[in-house]
Amino acid sequence: MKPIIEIMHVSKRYGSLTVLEDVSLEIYPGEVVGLIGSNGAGKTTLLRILAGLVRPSSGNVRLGGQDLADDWGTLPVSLGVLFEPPGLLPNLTGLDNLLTLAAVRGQLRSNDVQAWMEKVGLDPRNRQRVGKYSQGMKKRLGIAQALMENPQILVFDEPTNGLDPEAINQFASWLREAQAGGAAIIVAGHDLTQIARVCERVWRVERGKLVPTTLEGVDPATESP
Amino acid sequence: MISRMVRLDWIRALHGVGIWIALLLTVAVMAMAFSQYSTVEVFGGYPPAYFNAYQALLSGLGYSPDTFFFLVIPILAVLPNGDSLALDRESGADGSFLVRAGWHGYLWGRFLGNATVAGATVFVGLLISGIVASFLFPVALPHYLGVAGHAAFTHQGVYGQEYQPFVWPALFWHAPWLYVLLVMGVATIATGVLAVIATVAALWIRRRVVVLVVAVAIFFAADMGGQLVGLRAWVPSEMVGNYLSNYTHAPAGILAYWIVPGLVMSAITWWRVRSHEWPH
Repeated sequence: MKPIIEIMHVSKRYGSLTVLEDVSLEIYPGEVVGLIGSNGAGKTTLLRILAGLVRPSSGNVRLGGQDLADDWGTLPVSLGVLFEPPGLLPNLTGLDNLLTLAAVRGQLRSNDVQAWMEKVGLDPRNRQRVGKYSQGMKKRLGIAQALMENPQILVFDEPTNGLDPEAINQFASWLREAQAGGAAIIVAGHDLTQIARVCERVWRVERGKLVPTTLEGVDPATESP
Repeated sequence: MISRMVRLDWIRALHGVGIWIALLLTVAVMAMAFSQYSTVEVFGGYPPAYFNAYQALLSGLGYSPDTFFFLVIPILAVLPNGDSLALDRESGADGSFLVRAGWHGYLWGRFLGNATVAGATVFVGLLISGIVASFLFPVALPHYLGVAGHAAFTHQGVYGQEYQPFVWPALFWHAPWLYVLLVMGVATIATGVLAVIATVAALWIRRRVVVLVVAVAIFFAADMGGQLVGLRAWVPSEMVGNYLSNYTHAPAGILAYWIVPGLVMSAITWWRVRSHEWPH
């Protein structure tokens, strides 16, 4: 099996500050990889590079075998991302947010989008604007927008922040569903113990470098499955 | 992908209030200009159709000093959708769009969406004003007697005077509606170009309010700067409509005046698309 994500010797510098240094990682379809680390360790920068939102200073990222820097139109593979904040428009309702994002790819019908809202525990008929949502509601909606189009790659940054324990369990089950559907998933956070059982490999990001590590119930990170 | 993003920008604008405020403001500013324009008539003695819908519209667009359309145009440009990219960046929604549309589709979609929404809003406002003018004033020009230098004589005797716009006067006399539509077209292009200043500013600035203020401030700074260095005929407010009363301007020059900055904005956007990341 070929990796769907190939991060090859990626470094990122902002002026004299080195955020990532010579990071390499391969992730395969159907695999869930965890990234842990303290604030400023470089997790979010790595995820943003992977999602094509930040360009590496050196090194390469390939998604589905295609160099991300070659993107002139659509991305080589479909991605779902959840960053902090969850990437929603505050002046629209929850449903309008999902419908707007779904309209970009044009794959989902309105009924599918409403079903995703219900799946994450939100009422699609709620006319409240997202700016008025609680942190937990925003996070649930953010998870729905990432998952709703069944993308080939899922990127989650601090996905459990603001979620109650029940929602965290639900999130773990949604990850398993996506994994069973063949998605490659990368989850980053300070503390992944609550979803550790979903992760197959875990890496610690320390001063811009990746170090294999373990969590309770997770095997030590290895180079590939 | 670009066309989908443009369509989304339109839907988003139509659901907001800015587009409707800009539309109302356009009509209101033109209506105020019509009110000023017709007050001269009370003195009497003018030939039939001397005050007409075409002249009223051209006056409102800047031919006469009795308008402040040229002052509100930067506000009309940014109100409908000028903050769309800044709002995405401020809220973090840019990432959700970028992974779906890519840099190319996303930024060009926002650029063209903002330009077309703003331009079309003002154009529709001007068309509505045209309908209003055709009810308020005669839809006819006075009898045309000929041209001497830059002056067109419309009536024998004491009322023979400078009357026609200085740019392309022959077209004004032969196809006045087309002429008015072309002048509206210049205002529409100007609005679109002024609107994308906000989009380009949002490449660097995340704060919505700052982006909108910067776009308006650039217009007035260019205006004041131009006047200070003695280029009054070439300042942006002059090129919105007052160029009609200035015989130094040729039609191609007027179009180029707005298209060149539009191309500069496009080049900056293209460079950002190539960069694949926001400036630091």
